[in-house]
Amino acid sequence: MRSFDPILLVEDDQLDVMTLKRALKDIKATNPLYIRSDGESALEFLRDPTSPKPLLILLDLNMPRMNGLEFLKILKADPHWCKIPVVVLTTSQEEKDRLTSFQLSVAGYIIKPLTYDDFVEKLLIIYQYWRLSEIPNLMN
Amino acid sequence: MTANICKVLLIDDDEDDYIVARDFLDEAEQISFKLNWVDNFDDGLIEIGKNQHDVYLLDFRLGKGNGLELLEEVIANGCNKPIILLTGLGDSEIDRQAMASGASDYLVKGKFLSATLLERSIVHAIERKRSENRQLQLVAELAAVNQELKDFAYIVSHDLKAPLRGIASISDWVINDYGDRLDDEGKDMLRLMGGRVRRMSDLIDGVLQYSRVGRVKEEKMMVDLQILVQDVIDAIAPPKGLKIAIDTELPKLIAEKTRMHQLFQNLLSNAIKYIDKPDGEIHIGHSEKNGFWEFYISDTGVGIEERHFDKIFQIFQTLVPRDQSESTGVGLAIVKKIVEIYRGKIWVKSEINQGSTFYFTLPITADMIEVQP
Amino acid sequence: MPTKGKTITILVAEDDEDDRLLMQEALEENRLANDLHFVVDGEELMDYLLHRGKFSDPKSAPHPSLILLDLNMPRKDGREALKEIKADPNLRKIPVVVLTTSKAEEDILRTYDLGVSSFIAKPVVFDSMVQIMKMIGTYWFEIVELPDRASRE
Repeated sequence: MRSFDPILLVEDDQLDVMTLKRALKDIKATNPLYIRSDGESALEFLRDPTSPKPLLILLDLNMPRMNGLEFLKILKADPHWCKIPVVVLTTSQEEKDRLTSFQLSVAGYIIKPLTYDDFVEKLLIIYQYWRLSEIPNLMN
Repeated sequence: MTANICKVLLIDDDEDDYIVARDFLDEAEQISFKLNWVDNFDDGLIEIGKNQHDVYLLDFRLGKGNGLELLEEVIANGCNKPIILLTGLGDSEIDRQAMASGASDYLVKGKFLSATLLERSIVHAIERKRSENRQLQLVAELAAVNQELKDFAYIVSHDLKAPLRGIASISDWVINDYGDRLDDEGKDMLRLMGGRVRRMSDLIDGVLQYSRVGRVKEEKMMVDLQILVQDVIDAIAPPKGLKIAIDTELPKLIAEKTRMHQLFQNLLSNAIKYIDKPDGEIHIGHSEKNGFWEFYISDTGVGIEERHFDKIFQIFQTLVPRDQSESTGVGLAIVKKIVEIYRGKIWVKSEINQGSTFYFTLPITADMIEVQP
Repeated sequence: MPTKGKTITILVAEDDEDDRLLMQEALEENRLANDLHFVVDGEELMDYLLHRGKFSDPKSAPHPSLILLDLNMPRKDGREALKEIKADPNLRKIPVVVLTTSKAEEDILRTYDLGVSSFIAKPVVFDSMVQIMKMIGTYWFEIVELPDRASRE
């Protein structure tokens, strides 16, 4: 992933959004960040031909209307969007959430740590890993 | 049994046995018996499968296949009604096998069998089976409740902690971003807030820990307390100058190792925490009293006022101002819970500025330790 | 480096012997070589995962936590194998990281379409390989929560 490729964050908790934004700034990541607060509006964002195509999706699981796993299922069933790597960022340690996510080919499953500092540490690794990886560029 | 009518099914290939049984049961005074009869293995299997009787009398000799095989098969199929095996004289090995396979009783046919004996055996078998079934049901209910509690404890700790994450982060961010615009008092307020958040998180962990005691069962094994206590002391790493002495040769007992570890660790940590002198002393020892071992852990610490003696064992009770103490007040509550699970008692003797001695008892185990559920 | 205390089984599918050696040394350098298994082509890879052929004994082929997959291999290439892995309900949940010389957009697109977890260009220099293995190890075994092994059968 290049340093200017867009990232889509699907997260409803305002504080978690602030945390991620701040952490990205602290690790000096300059990728443009797009935020949608639930699965349905995230799908609308992806469908919209005028919005930029994200190269990486960070996904929370507990969201209203359509939760993370439902969104993931729809995403992976779509021939176009299934190619975007998805990294789950959640508080859930439930085995069944982990299993379902990996059955749906997520590219990572990360448990949000308790402190901000620990979060920054984890995000740095995640970011470095994805900077290292090749991701398909989905042209409109 | 409805209104004292007891439905009995006899599975026996000998018609004479049927006649004898019928006559005996007719003589019964307390209960009105209704007797049915089948004379072979296959019909017996079918009829028992219908579950329409209150008790089954099963002859050992049954033509094709024997009664014992039928017994084992119907029990494997889930029969939960009492089954009484009828055997001939001298078949004691069969009797033993029958009982081991799940028969409720066995009766020896012939001149020793009487109407009274038959009636009594049936009544007792039915009573016993009912009580067995009730116990199985209770065990299943207990397992279900236990699982519910486990799930609840996880959810509670997980969901209660969620907002805490945010609060701690925000207070750090405010100090970072607006620190130059805050005076010392302002910064102090935020630090206090951060401290309370950490305390809340510790309290939730404490509740979770407390709820696990008694719920999470471990295999019991022979624990050598002499070694265990030494391990605990090494793990705690007491400060220099503090003397810890084990006065007696601590016994071995059968217990859950983790619980014993937790027990001694909490008491020792407590003792160390409340020693205010640089050359404090802690003594550990035991004696035998009335089938119990009585252990003591004494310290030369600050001591406890008599009026607090009961309070300290309650969860979340600490005797020092909240902001000064890191203690969540769960340690002694856990110790008390563990001791009581092992049917022991715990109490304290103390004098202000002299020190305290915690006493607790644990039963001396011969081969099995009985634990209260 | 890995702190979780569980055995980490890594399965590497790589046909080139030199590359295999390079990867093994790089993994050893990062202390990730506790339970490292190699297969030389796609056919062997599937045999391993399905306990067929020389891997009929399950003890010889422990379930991997991660698969590192080269694309260009004889007999059955990585793309074919990936397709089979992601079609199998038992194997699908194992994260697969393609580690290959090809950087062709076509390959990148195709593998993500098939459900690969990520795609990394294979370096030739040892130091870079060590760095990459370090990154892979830290990400997949320290940061990511993998599903429990026991949830397989």
